[in-house]
Amino acid sequence: MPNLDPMSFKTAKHLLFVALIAAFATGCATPKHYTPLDVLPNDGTDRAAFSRAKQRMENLFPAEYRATQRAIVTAGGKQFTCDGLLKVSPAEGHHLAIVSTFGVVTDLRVKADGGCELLKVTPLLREDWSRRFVARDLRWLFVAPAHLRPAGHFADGKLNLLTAEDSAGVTAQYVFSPDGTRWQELDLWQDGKTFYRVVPKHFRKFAGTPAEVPDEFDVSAEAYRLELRIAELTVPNTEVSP
Amino acid sequence: MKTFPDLKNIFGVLLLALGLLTASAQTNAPVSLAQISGAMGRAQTVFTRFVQERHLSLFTEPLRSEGFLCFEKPGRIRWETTAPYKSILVSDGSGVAQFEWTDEKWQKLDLGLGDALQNVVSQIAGVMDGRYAGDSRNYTATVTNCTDELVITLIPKNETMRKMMAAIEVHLTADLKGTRRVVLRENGGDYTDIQFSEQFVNLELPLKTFDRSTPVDIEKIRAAAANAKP
Repeated sequence: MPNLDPMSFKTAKHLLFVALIAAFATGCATPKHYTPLDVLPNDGTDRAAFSRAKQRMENLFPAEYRATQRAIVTAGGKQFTCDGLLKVSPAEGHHLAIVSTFGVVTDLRVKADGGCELLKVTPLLREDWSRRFVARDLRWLFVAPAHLRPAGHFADGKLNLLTAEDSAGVTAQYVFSPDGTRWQELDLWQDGKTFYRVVPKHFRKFAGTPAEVPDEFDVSAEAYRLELRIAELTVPNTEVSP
Repeated sequence: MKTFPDLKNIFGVLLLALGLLTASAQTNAPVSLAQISGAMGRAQTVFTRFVQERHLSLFTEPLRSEGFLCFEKPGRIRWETTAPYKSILVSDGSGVAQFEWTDEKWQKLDLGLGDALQNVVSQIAGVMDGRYAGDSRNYTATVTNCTDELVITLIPKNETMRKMMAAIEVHLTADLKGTRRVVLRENGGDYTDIQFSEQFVNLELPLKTFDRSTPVDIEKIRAAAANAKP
């Protein structure tokens, strides 16, 4: 008969846990760093473009929406898939549940004040990893950055905008197209080194979004690569998309 | 919400239920697991459309997906999601592969936990042998006759398993010729609801339906079904 005894479930969950430990441990042991991009200082020109970029970033996603995500996580040379259900509202912040083939991985909320509230801890992902990795992805991909300021140009004319250094010493560098209309990259720095890079891709409109939003993110971080697609995005009182 | 036991049970119970499609019973009398076991043995292949909703207790709206399930004896499974994203999980009986549709093409994953997934799929396939249904050691089964349907409720006997999976409901048409839905109820209020339609039993599936390198396009399978009688 098919083996439906509980031990086999435990074994599988254990296997996933061990795999993730191995993956993250491997990644943490060999942190990835990226060559910082050379920036020319801001000379006060292109104020309009910088203003557009700042405004664009602050209003990239609607204030209230629901999104279904599909993610491929590569860690330790192996790939895992999971689904994400994201609900965003001014009152509730960014609420994300991640579900894998093996069950709910984590359920957390990044509140409007930036704090992380872990709503469900499961055997599939350690609590500190939810806070360290998942909340970070959620925060930097979907939450508008605060206090973004012009910092200069790149040699090819692209705009460079920075956030203020946070309490952990992390600074975010946003790269925008020269006209300030298109977000092209995000790097996180710490101690002068880039340890996290995001490339937003496939900008398009969903029903109810006033402007085009990226429907895919390619994230390279210390211990993993994340390919995240927005499979569906629904704004209240509008038709279902895509 | 789908957990590891969910995955087995989702596939297992729905295949178990779909096996009933081959039964010729014309009664709405209670059905024993042994009878289900007998009915299941007659299905060589199953092809059906599904709509799956994972209801998470902390969300008001479910995580919804839809697609197609293919099964062929002695252990071939294909679970293909077609919306809101495209993904194929396929086993040819000896190994498992997963494909994701990205950048307008199929990407075969270098799958982590392949052995664990294969184990799951192998056990799902074993359901078609009827041994699962014939086993009363792990589940308490009750049958409820409603006006236009019959509901089989399976309650795990093992306490540890019951902590993860409170009950599994299989909703069948009263004449046992169709499976309407399978509901997996977990403790804490989460549940997965899978609804079925366009079911075909003993359909001749195209070559490479379960190929782990280049599985045939789902449209070819649908075309084969369109030429057959449900």
